[in-house]
Amino acid sequence: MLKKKQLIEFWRVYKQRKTAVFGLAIVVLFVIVIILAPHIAPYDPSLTVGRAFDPPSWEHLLGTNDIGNDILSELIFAGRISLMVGFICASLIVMTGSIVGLVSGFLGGIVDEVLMRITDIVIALPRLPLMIVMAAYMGPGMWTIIFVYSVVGWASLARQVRSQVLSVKESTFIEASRAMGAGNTHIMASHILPNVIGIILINGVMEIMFAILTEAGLSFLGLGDPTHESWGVMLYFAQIQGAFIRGAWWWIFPPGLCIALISCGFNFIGTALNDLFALKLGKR
Amino acid sequence: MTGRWFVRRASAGLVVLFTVVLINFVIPRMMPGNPIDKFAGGVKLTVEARQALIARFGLDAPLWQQFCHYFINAFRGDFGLSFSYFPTPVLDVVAQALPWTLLVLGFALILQVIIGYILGVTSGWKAGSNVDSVLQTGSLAVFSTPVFWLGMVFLFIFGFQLGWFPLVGAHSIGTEYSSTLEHIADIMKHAALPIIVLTIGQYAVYQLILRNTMVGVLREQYILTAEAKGLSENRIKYRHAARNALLPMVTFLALSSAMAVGGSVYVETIFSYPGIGLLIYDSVLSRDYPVMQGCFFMFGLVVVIANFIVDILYMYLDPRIRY
Amino acid sequence: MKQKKLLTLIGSLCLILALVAIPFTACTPEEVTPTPPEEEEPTPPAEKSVVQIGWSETPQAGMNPFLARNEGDYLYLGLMYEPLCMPMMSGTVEPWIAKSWEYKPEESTWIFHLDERAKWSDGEPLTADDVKFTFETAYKYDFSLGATTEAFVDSIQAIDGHTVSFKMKEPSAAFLSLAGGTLIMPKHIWSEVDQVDEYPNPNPVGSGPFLFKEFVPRQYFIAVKNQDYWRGPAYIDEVVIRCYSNMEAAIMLMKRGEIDIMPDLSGQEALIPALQEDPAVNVVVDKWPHDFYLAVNFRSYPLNLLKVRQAMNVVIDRRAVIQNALGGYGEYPPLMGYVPPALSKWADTDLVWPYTDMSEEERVTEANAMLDDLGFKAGKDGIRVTDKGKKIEFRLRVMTWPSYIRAAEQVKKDLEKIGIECNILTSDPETLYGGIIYSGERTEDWDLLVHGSTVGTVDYIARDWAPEPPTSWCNGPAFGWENEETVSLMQASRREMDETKRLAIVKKWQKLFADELVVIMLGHRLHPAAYRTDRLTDWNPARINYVGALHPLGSIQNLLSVRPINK
Repeated sequence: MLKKKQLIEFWRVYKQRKTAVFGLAIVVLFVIVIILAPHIAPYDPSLTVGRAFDPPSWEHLLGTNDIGNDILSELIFAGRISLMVGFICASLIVMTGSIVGLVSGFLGGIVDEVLMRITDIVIALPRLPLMIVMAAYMGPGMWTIIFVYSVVGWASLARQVRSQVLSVKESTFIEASRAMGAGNTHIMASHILPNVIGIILINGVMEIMFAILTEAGLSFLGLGDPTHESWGVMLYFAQIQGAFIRGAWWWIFPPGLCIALISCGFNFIGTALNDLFALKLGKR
Repeated sequence: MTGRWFVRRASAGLVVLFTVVLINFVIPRMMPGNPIDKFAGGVKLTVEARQALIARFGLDAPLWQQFCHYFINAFRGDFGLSFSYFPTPVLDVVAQALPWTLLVLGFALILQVIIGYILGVTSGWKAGSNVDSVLQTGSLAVFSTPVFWLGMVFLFIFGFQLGWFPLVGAHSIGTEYSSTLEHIADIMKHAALPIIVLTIGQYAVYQLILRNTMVGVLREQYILTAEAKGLSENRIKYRHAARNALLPMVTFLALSSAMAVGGSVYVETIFSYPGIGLLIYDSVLSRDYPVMQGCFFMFGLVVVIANFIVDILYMYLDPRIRY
Repeated sequence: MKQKKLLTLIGSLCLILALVAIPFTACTPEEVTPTPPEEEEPTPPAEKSVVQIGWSETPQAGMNPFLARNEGDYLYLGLMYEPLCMPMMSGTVEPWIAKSWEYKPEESTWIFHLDERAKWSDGEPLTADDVKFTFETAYKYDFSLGATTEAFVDSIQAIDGHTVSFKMKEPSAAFLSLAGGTLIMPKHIWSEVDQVDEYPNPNPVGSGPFLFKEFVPRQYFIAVKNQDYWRGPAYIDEVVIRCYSNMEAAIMLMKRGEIDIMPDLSGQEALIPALQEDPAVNVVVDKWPHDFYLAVNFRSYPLNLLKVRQAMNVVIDRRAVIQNALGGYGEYPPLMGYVPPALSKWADTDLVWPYTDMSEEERVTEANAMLDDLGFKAGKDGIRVTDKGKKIEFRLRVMTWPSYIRAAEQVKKDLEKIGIECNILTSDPETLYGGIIYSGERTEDWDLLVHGSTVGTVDYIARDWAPEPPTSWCNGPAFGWENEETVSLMQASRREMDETKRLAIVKKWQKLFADELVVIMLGHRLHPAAYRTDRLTDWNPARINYVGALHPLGSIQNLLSVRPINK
């Protein structure tokens, strides 16, 4: 019962923030569009349905690309890949990051020492070059990108979770429940997890954004999978198939704007969550 | 005291570099196939030629021997020879590219900090006002825009359409300069768009951090005291409040340098700017693995040195810290 | 106080940056390895004429011709170094350093007579010793510079200062044109070098019409006119080759008048209309000895059935492949005999893809009928099942290059129409070729491959398909293809000295190749290039056929011929 009340209260505060609502609206809209993609997209994105480099018209709302594919349809289907990569990466990172952070913070001692040294190093490594090097050896592809991003991205979350765990661990009510004979698992599940859930949530949302941005970037550099077209891959093709020189702005602007919009959406949500949780923590 | 501090920082940096070298060594050997196949770059090799190459690169030695050899060489700056510029040592290729990256990255970083500082102070001072929310929302939006796309659009508009800036390269080719000043002007003209794009792409983080800490600082007692003493607004804003809000920003500078170098890969690729960012991209395209590893190492070095500088900055700014 | 400190800090950071930047910028011009242009005439020209060439990559060989292996290397190094002779695309061979040659059948020996005027840029004469040294060094180190002729040559002799003879292991007609792929180098310089294969050659001494001036890898290369060039100096003073990874920017610069020649626009077909709209730019489209095809793994069932390959051959829409993958710059219809139409002397034009007059439905019907004949019935999902009860599903391997992927997508679409399913698998070139196709280790990991190659001469084709001795890195063995008759004909065609008989043999193996559908030819890339007509005149693009191919506009004949337009 309390949970529901909390949620209602949370939503009441959340909806007062215009940007937060706006961000949520964007994300929901995008998700609906990509789920309904086959019904919404006017054409099959893999077919040649018009002349090459046709500017936007009623027939092709966003024009066509160099081989006459409809760009609007491409854009809708590419969104599926981009968002999917974002969600998968974020889930993987949240999983690794929070496990490392929880274990490290909770167990302490030598485990903590080792895990945190590794975390420090991972954080200090130049991220994009590292991903490029790994991707170059593994060969281009969507799963390559997902893998390298997740391998490199978990560290900062782990560190945050750990420090949160430490601060909760010191608090009196944990000591109380320990005194009452509660086991590690119990303490972890019922006391520590609820307290770090905020940080995990915020990071999860932000990681979706970073993952989408990074996937787009790596694809743009030619490390993506050209047969799974994401927004980044679209831009890659636009760049090398002469969109600039042919003045085909309708091929360059929409994918970039989509990436910007969706990451903006996640960013707004993440920032709002951050503020709300900070407020909550501040109150206590 | 300073000596111990120095040793600690330096060893932390060394550990990072050590990891970079380790990654360079391990990853190619974890992949299926012999690393030597990467040398051929799709060129057909005869069995004898393949054997010869394996022997030459010492790949027939036991793993631990290879490892020691590789490490010693790496820290001597010897990353072998470039595949695609074959007789040239990797170090030469990378060293030629490094100054350009430092130029762009350095100027961009300074501009990011300055712009982030000014906007952050403005926004934090009037927290909750319209100015604040516009600045915040705007920066979040800019921050969400992919840097490479921003670069594409800028190149398209200011390079292709308006023709204000050069499209490629770091300086004009074959021009004779009448003075050093003219030479520098030419170089800055070529560097301008990359710097601008990098700045726009990353200033927002500094602004947001500064703003949030500023809000916290403003609630503190001594600011209220200063106000009560009747000090001028600007004095309180920049002298007292902002200075204290600077520390988290500097901390972040250290944290983010590992990410910030990534921007230069995109920007240099788009503007064909001959720094290590473009070099690593080129080397991936041409499968020049030694150069790629050299670039990665160099990026690691840049990050380590940047962190070092930030630490010194920190010492300057925070009177409490005396190492 | 603190603020002042901050200011000084930022100031000093700027200073550090400037300090980093300034010595660097100052040192850039100093990197010029000083090759003082010998300007004895007291009257310097009012304005020097420069040819600016836009190119996509830095020479892989650096300035060391022994390491030259692709057309890019020849573009740079060919300005300073020259070959014995120039094999032309048309099939003739033109004299260069060698003014004439002859073949002595009784001794199986080629004899070259060198031009007495030829000399090095340091004044030394170019002699038979230099030729002997170059070839022998290339063979000794297994350099690609000599790889083309190594298999034929038994020994080399300098008969006198200007006569050199090559004794063949067995009669070889191919030798003459292949010898043109070797740039001759000065013995008096290179015999002093310890490690020839790692020598960066910072101050090249060559016999060519241009002298090295400056080279910054990945950025630019400058060569100046050799006033004392033995064939008479060029009309232009300087050649600049600028290297771009961003081809769009290069094209924009050409439109702005900062680049005169773009010798190779293939792969950039989508950009060409932007140049065509500029009246001062001339876009030329050349034929090219290039094959773009679908390779078949003969180890995989049912691809080894001729009927299946025939059905695929009928149904794949060549016009769509050429349009989508090559931007329309491909020859239609393709020749099925592997010798591309650009090698006009050898190509058998009767072997053209025969289904040009049929509509798409007709082709689909015919292909379906062929597969029905085999008894491969379609399952519920529309995919055919072989007599062994397995679905016809192929792994279609392809590189990550856009044109290749577009071709693969078209192939997939067309094969779906006849109940064949394809899974497109992309990899980077070196995993694909080094790891899967040519390694001989993963022969079962692929069924179909979209492949393209510049084939050079018929002798290269013969070497690629019928290597002696057979190795896994040549096409025939790599694709699991065996056909004794075709292979022995290919080997015979390399030895036959009589031109008419040679032609007959080449035609014969082409026919066999086409009938068997060893590969399913998709098209032949055409070669677009562009030049500006407003600053230079007297263009003479020579169609040379080196190891791969050299771009006509970048050829030395052209650069010797062009002259500035006087305003």
